[in-house]
Amino acid sequence: MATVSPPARTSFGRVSRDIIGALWEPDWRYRVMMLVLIAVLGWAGYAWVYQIKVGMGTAGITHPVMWGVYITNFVFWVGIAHSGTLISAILYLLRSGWRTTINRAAEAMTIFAVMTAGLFPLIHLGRVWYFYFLAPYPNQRLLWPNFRSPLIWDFFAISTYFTISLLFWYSGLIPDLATIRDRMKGLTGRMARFKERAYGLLSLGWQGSDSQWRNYRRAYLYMAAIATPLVLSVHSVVSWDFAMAITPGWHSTIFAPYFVAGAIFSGIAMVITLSVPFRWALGLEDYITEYHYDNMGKLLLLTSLIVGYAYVAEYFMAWYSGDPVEWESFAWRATGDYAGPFAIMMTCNVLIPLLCFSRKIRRNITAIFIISLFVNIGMWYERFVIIVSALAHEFEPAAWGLYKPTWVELSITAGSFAWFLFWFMLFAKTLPAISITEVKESMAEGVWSPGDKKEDS
Amino acid sequence: MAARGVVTATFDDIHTVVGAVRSIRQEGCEDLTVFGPIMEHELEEAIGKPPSPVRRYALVGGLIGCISGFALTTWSSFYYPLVVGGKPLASTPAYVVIAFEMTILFAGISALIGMLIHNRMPTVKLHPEHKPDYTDDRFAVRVACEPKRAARVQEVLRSYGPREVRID
Amino acid sequence: MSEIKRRDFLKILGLSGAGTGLVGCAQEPAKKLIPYLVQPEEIIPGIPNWYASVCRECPAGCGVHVKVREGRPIKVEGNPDHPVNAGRLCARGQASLQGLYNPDRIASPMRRVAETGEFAPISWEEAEAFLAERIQALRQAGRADRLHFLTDAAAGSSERLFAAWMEALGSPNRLIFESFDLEPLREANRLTFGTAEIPSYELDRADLIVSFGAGFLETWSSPVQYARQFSRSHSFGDGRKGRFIHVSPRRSLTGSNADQWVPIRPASAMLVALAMTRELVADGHAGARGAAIRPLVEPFTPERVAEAAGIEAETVSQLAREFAESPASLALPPGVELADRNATATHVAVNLLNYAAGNVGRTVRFGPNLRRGRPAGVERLQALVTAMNGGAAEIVLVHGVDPIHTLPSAFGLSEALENVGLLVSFASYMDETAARADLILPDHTPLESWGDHSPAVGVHGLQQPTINPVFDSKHTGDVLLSLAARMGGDMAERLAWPNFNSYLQESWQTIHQEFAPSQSFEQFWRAAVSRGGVWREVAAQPVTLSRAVGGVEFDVPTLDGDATTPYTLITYPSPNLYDGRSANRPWLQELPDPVTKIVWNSWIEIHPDAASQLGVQTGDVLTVTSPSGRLDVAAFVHEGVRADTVAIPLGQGHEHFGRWASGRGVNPLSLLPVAKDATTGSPARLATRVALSATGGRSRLVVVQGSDDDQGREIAEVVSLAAALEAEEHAHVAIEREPDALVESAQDADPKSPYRWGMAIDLSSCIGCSACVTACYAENNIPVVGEENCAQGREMAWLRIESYYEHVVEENGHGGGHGEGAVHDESKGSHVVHLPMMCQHCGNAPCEPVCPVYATYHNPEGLNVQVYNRCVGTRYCSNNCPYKVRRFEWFDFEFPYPLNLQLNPDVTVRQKGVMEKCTFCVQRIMSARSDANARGRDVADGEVVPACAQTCPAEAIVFGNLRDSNSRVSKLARSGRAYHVLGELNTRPAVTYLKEVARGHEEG
Repeated sequence: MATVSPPARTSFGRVSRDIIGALWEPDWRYRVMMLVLIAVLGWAGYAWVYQIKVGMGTAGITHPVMWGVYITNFVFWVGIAHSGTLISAILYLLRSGWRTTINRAAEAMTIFAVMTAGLFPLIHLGRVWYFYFLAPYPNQRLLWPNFRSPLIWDFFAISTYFTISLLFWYSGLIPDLATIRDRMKGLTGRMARFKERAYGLLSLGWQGSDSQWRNYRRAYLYMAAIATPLVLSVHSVVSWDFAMAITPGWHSTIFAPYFVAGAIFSGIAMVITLSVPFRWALGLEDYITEYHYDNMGKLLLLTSLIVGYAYVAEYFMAWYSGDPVEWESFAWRATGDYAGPFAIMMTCNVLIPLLCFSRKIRRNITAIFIISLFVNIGMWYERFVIIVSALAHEFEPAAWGLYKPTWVELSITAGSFAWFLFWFMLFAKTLPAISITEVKESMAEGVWSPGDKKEDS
Repeated sequence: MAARGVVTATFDDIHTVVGAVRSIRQEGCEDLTVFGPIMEHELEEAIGKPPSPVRRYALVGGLIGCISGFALTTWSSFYYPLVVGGKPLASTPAYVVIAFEMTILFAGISALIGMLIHNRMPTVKLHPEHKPDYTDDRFAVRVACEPKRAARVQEVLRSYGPREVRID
Repeated sequence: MSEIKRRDFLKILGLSGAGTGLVGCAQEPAKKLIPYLVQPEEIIPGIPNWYASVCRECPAGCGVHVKVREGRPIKVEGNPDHPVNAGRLCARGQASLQGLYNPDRIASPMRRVAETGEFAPISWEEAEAFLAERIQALRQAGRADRLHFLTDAAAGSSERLFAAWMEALGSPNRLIFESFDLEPLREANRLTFGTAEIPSYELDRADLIVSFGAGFLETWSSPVQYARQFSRSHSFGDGRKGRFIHVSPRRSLTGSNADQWVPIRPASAMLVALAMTRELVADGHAGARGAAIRPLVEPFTPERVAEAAGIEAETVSQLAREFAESPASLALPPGVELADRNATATHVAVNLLNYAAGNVGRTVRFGPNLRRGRPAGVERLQALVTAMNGGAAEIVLVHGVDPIHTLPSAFGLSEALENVGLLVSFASYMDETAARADLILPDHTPLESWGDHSPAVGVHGLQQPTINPVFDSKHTGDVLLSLAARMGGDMAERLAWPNFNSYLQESWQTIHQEFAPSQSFEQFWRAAVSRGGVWREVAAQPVTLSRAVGGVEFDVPTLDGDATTPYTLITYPSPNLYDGRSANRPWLQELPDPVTKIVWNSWIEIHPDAASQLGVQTGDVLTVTSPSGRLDVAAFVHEGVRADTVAIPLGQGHEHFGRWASGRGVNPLSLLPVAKDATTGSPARLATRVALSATGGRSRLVVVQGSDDDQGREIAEVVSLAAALEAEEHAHVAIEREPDALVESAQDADPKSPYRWGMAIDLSSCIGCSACVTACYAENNIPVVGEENCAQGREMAWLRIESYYEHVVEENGHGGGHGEGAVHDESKGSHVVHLPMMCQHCGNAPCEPVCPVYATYHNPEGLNVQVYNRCVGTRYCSNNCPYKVRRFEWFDFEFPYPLNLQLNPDVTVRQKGVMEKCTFCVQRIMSARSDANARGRDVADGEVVPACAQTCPAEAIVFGNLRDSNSRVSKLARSGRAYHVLGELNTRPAVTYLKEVARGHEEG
């Protein structure tokens, strides 16, 4: 909002005003965008209800390909969810200053991505009305879930990940919320009072005394410390949904590290994809600069190389093992009916990111934005290729078959993107999209201050 | 009662605050509170209060989570014994994953709870001394001491060029 | 005023109350279990009653036991005592239930309304009165001979009643019609041996079978009987294994079981048989018999024949040599699909071959002859058509046949029917002929009616109703009798039986005298009904070579067409749909064709070379043109036919015949000319050549098998006889050393349980007929999903037959590690292995640990059970099943009334969204176990028989307790040929497969 009084006296004051000023009073573009998202959501909702009423047969999944686009989306969104906590937690522990302006948005993204991913295990259930059979609680069936099943591991990993990320994100917000509360004090009008009260409640009565800071910083440190192994574990568990099966093309020991790398890869890509339009829309060009994209570009490149290595390693292992079934499966993956998706995956995830070797491209926001789009597509296809092509050509040649998604699956996929963006846009207008406190910290430490592009870095 | 005097000085820059705090403590005044939009390790050291008890919460929470993870999985497989895939009822390797996730979950939650408890949060009524600026761009050093020493404290604080100094 | 208001108010109140009540009903229909008010003494709820009867799906006349629960037949199984099928049944027999409960049955008599041209239901009273009056009018006009009566070739009382009725009526125009007749064989026997009979071929006594194309394992003559005998001779039984050589242009299902396939040119079987005979005689193997036939066969040298037959001369002599040297050989004639214009001569040639080799009286036995009606020949059918066109057929009655669909359209019957005064059909379903009728008097289906059928000398099958008629149908015998009564006069006197049942009993008086003169007829009748008929051993009668054989002309039969039509057309009876009479049974439409694995459609089989010439692949639509007609049909490319031959199955191409048959596939009979066997005049099906051209279009041809090449993955294994013998020796030694040892997978159950259920499947017995698949559908309420879903791979079969083209492994593989002894090169083999694949009930089941809700787990008796109530449908289990035998309920599949009456009450009808799979017929295990417990003992070997094992004509499937070292399954599981599919995965399956054995021509 334009008039936060009194006007900034210091650089700190300016930070508070810029970031808070980016909040609320959405313009017509924002409103239209929201309406579109809600419309898409509605259509996807209809598709889901239709599927529940008529049966899973309305989706394209079939015998032998019993998992398709739904699980692809699940893994895709879980992957997206990984950059947030990674940037916040790991980079926090590594004390890398450039994270400070993007971690808030990244964490929000994490939470919304998990919220999206969490829908798909439900959507793909044959009898979703019995989803609670998976929950571990004392019940009249006297039956507990099968804790040996990787799906139950998923249940625990995802719900833990969601809870911890939420708490981590929220505790990071507390001082900022207090800042907003106190900014409201200077204002008049009922809206300002309401906001003061609302943010006051959310900030849990933070007042920035040194003892509060001491406990707070300690708690935040521990959360960061435990969130780090959590991030790694979650996508390892997701990868075990496949690796623990005996299906050729799934049954592989490198899946856990391979999937984690892939998750971070796709997560970073999504951060870039979202932050570019978002820094422009909220007028925060000074806060997210070439400097940040440069660093994210490096991370993108690193993870892309790891993922590419994993692809090659997989093929080498299939060949080296001398297992005809395994080898047939991999050969067919590249040459068979799903060669197209395979080619897309290779191009988008391995070749295109190589451009990030050039500093010029890394620091060219348009270029890195386009690259990030390709990576998003490529990573979706990676999951599709792994899941579908492996199932289509298994041990029993007589039972080989193909899979093609239907309008139901595609609608729900579109809906998942709408769902995710809906929450993100809501967030962008209601909560400080950049951590006020941490920007101030990095300024105090002299690591970085708004507007700095660090050309020399 | 006017047994103690309270001096409050506000600053713009955290580094000056560090200096100020150090000298105040050399003066032998330990009863001081610092407010500010951010906090730094340096400053925490200068204030020199004992480390936060939050870490114990995290540890205990983690242990409880780990134990209950193994307990739940193992107990439930014997409570309603069903053989799957020719595996033993206590398939411990498989249960490690559950135990791990629960360790993380409990540790995280209890760390947060610990923080809230020791920060007396959540609350709606703020410290009477709290000023809106403290969460924006002002640092405040609040020293409580005998009235007779208040002048000296004030002097020391002034030497760091504060925005303002208040005595009450 | 206020008074009225109050009333209105009350009215509205009442109405709205009723309204909400109604809405409530609409949402949740009340389901009440109504107990019997008066308990019928023979019906105990939950306990099935079994009624013996006769299967009438084809003329073979197998005996059946019908399982009836609470008054509803729910399963048909073979009658174990019956001499024809000995308790076994084919897929068509299993599907007879869907004939009974077919929702498209004609529900009541119907008459075509002149104005609209539509059918309108009428009462039986009206219908019979109307018909009686019309016939009476004809008789009074002295034109009784203008009434024609077409019936099927049943050999029984109904057939006799038809004859008597027509005779009383004074019309000679009774016509027996049967799609597939054996007249050339009958005539050939008269010419060769002076007896116009169909002998019994004793396949089980044969060491070497040379078939010239008869589909004796699928549709020819008496398939279930032959399948049983064949597997007895051909399967690997302690060191002995018969050899089977298939000499035919097409490798049919029967041919796919051959050790050697000799693809001769179409219509050259006669020459090959004669040349073999000549060699035999020349080498002096025929002994004294040789002298008589030498002059007949002298000119047919292998060299001369080889050219005509399109094979090596050496092959001919090899065949002859083998045939001669075999201790017990048997030559079988070409099947109906290969009946050419000189079919009788071909059969004579085959007879001579058998005679020369001394098989007559040994593997070919006259005396216990097969009995079939004598179908009318081509002239007779043409005469009927002429009569119709000349208006000389004023009334035509049709019973039990669908001539419009089963006669080549070249006969012009369809057009001729326009000129029939009154066409009366007794069909139970709206078949092509019934759809043209003026009056339909729906007959009972066999499961609803009394009847008898005598498929062989000394065998009298007796048919009894197993359910009250489902629709308002009436037994044709009763209709004829009541028509006679209505007509009165001598008609009524000569046919004075109150109903068909009494006629039946009277006609059984003679049988009574023949079989049990000592008993009272009552006793005899009761016994006969409960047994499903009476039968006795019939002694063989020696036959001698007849002089008539000298006069046989061995002319090479001609084929229509010229240079422009390079491909010879074979139209063969579909193993599933027969001549089309089974096409309205959804189970059979969805049952993959045993050779092509195609469902719900027609196709043309074409050799890869021919296909590449035409530039087509499987699924491309071809236009097939013969001098007599043309049609479009999708190509199926495979090596199963010669490059100069194409084949189209019969059975599809219905315009009517109900929702499942109508508008499906093509009827190749539209391509055939009016051709007949020179001697008997019976229809010749191998009569024309065709031209092919690609239309450029593609058609959805649903082939449910993904690949027919197992890539040496230790899935389908076939070894040479020598290798098998060696392996068995090792095994015997091991078994003698420790006779009580159990196989590894016997451990995979609760230590306290006396049982670990297991199965053994002998691939050397399995013939791939797929009867087990349909039996499984019937027993386990498996839904039919339709062609669209099959195209997506969503067929629900718990049990499927996988057919792989394999290499014979010469050295012995003990089936241990991956592909040990297996051939690894990628090229497809030539030996077909039919492999029944169902849930393997693994000890280390990969499907179990991945289920998050314990919906599938290992029960104490070692079964891998699926708990539908727990299943949430993650489908993870299916992804992790290496055998891909788990099925998922994609929708709430429907069983349209009255098909739902067939559902087995002991098996859950699954809801949408749950996984399902083979349960080893757990309901049968449970009932057997409770019976045993009631007797205070354990279940004995052989007391539990799953539906698949029960019906298997080849007796390939054995089920039992792996913890009982004396059970058959335990013994087989320790066989030297035993192996587990994908054994290297260490899933420890409960299903043990015994390797297929191939016997080369040097072995024996």
